[in-house]
Amino acid sequence: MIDIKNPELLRYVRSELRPARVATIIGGTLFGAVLLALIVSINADHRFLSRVSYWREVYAAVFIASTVVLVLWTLLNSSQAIVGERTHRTFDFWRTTRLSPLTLATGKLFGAPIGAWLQYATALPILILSGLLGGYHVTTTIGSYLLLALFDVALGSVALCLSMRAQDARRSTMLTFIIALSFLPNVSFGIGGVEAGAGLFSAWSAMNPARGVVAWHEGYPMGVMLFGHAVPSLLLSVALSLAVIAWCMAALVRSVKMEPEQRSLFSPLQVVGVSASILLFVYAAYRPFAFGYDGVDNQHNMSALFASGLVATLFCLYFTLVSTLYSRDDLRHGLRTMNPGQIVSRLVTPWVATGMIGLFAAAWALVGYRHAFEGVAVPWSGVIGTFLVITAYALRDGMFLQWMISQRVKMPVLKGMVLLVCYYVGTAVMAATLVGPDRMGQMLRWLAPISSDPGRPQEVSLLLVAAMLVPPLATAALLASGVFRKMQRAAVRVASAVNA
Amino acid sequence: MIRLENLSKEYDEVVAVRDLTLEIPEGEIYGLIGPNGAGKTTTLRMCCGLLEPTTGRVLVNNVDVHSDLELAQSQIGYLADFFSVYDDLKVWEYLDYFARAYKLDPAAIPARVDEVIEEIGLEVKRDSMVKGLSRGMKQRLGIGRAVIHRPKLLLLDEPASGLDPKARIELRQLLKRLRDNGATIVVSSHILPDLEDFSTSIGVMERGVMLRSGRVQELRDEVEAADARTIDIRWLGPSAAIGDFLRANGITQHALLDREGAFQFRGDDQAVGDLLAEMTAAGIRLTSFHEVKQTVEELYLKLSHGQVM
Repeated sequence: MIDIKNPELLRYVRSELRPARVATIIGGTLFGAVLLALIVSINADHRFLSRVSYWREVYAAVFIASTVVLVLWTLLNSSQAIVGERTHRTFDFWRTTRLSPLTLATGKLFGAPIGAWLQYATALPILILSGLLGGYHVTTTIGSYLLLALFDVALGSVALCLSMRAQDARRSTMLTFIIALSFLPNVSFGIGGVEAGAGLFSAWSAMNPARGVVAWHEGYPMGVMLFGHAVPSLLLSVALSLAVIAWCMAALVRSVKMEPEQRSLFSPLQVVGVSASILLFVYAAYRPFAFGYDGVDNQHNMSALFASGLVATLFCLYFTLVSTLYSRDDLRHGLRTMNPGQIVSRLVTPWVATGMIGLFAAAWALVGYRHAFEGVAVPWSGVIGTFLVITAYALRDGMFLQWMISQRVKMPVLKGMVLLVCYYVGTAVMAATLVGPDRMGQMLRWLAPISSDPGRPQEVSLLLVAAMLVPPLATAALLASGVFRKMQRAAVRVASAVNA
Repeated sequence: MIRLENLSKEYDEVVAVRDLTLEIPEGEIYGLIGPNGAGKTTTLRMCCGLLEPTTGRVLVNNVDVHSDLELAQSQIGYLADFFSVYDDLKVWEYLDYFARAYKLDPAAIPARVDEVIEEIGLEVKRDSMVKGLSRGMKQRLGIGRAVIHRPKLLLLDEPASGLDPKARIELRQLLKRLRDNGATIVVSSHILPDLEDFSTSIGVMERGVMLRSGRVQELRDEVEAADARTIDIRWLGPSAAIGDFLRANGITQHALLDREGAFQFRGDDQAVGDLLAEMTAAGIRLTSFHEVKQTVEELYLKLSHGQVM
């Protein structure tokens, strides 16, 4: 619950809700609603539009307008809330107070867009009234209203996390809007638009509750397929919003009182937890296609499940890598109390854990969804081998990024990622040139196995898997020794500077 | 009150503070002086828990700042060198926010806010918006924020920089009042006359190293024992008699005008007293005889061996 005794929230209430501004927001909202009602009235063909239909249109217009304003206002203010404190040099103040990170995070989450909340609250009586006149049950109106509010809080918490990490307010706002704009329409009308049969939609569509809310108003409950079972879309939307809020709050509580360079967004354990959550959702959202004959669709179902799991694992692996890399300072300080072997094991543990979770999740999904590809044998050695190899390559790439950090280059992770992309594209071009596109997969299996045909795992011998693990692991070991040689030299230089 | 034990801070391969050990007893006004980049701000930020030291630790009232941050911060008030304030709040709202943030008893907050407003001399601006305050007033408000929770230790980083002379005088008076109320204050500054009036101890930092630290009088005595002292005199009668007297006593460095002048003298307090007695006995009619004390600026130059400034 929002605690009005929360000093941070109280500060926002005092500064943002002065009488003149409150009057402007309430007046603006009421004026906007009247204007929308007039526009609907002017545009309507009164010969055919019934009174109920008219109020339904007014209701929809006000609902959409107030929700869009709420979301945009929230994204704008939340994305500047923390980075703004740094740029305005007020950040150190609340870092030296006894405000707990949770108090600060909740205060900012609800306080930064407090004006937007007032606007949204002002719209509620209008919505209830126009909804009743339009024949909507009050529970539908209030339920939808609260659901969209929850969705807005989830977006706000993502924006706050970005604000916590960003170096300047402009970058934070741009990134927030890019993320918001890129997934809202796609999720709502792209992935979610494809029906999964029997009137069920993909679980991905529940990431944006708009479609479910519309269906609720139209009188039919929208279902999504989760673990192969029908689940109310809005229920999943609530669960997803709560999950996003929970992870963002975990990140905020961990780091809100720190400078961005002082602490990573998540602890290694949390990163692995986030990865596991993503993998769980990806497999839960898997929708088998209708069963076909001759096992054709069954083969396709298995390949699709395997491919989506592989892509999700890759995403999680690189998310884990980037989130758990050591800064130069951390490495140098670590070397004072630990030996390089201990540091390496701490570094790679979350990477290996994520890879293994990806493998176990894939195995669990292949067993769980086996009814969708009955008759098609799962090539277990190929599945296990592929996941082990991509984990090994992720280890190598992670060590390469760590090596980039140790080299004192500016923006080492970004530059390292660009180099890795160039490497993978280069190997693909080289393979296509050397062996031809038809057998490119075979060639890439050695150079970059993650580019080999991911949808068609094949039975492979353990010897081959072991052989495929050698190049990336050996390269990772070489890079690790390079990192520690470099950092030990740096530590010696610093020690001599201190002694001097 | 505050103890720094082998404190170091490294930024990549730059050592900002090197192996700093220091103890400041309760009730002291400690002036941390040094040029820009000496490590003063880094030291203060480590003292209040904003920066984690690379090595060493900071104890405030025997509480380790980095292992029990909240308890330590409840005893520390900090004012950063460059800071801003929440412009969209009123003066009392600003202090009220920080009083709540420091978890003061809610019932006692209004009285404490009024008390601090009076202490910083902003009574007439109590209900004004912060954005309407002058720079000096904002600085005082910042100090008000730092003392709202009655901290035992006040860390002020360059509190006078950017202030006009009038605001500086007001700030100095405010710090003296805080000192009189029993606070231990650590003030960093590179504007040395600011520290002149109220520092009881000083530390000279350069390139992350504490060159010298101690009570102002002790350091003065130390410097003066090694250096010639400057005696300022005024007299009635001809200057020639003074010149003759000084030369007869082996004092060659002097500058004498008509009825006033100064000379350099090596010796302790006893020797100075003897000299005065001899001058009087020699029939010189002195109207003034006093030693010109070293300013903090001169002390700093001598302690840092003129390496900077």
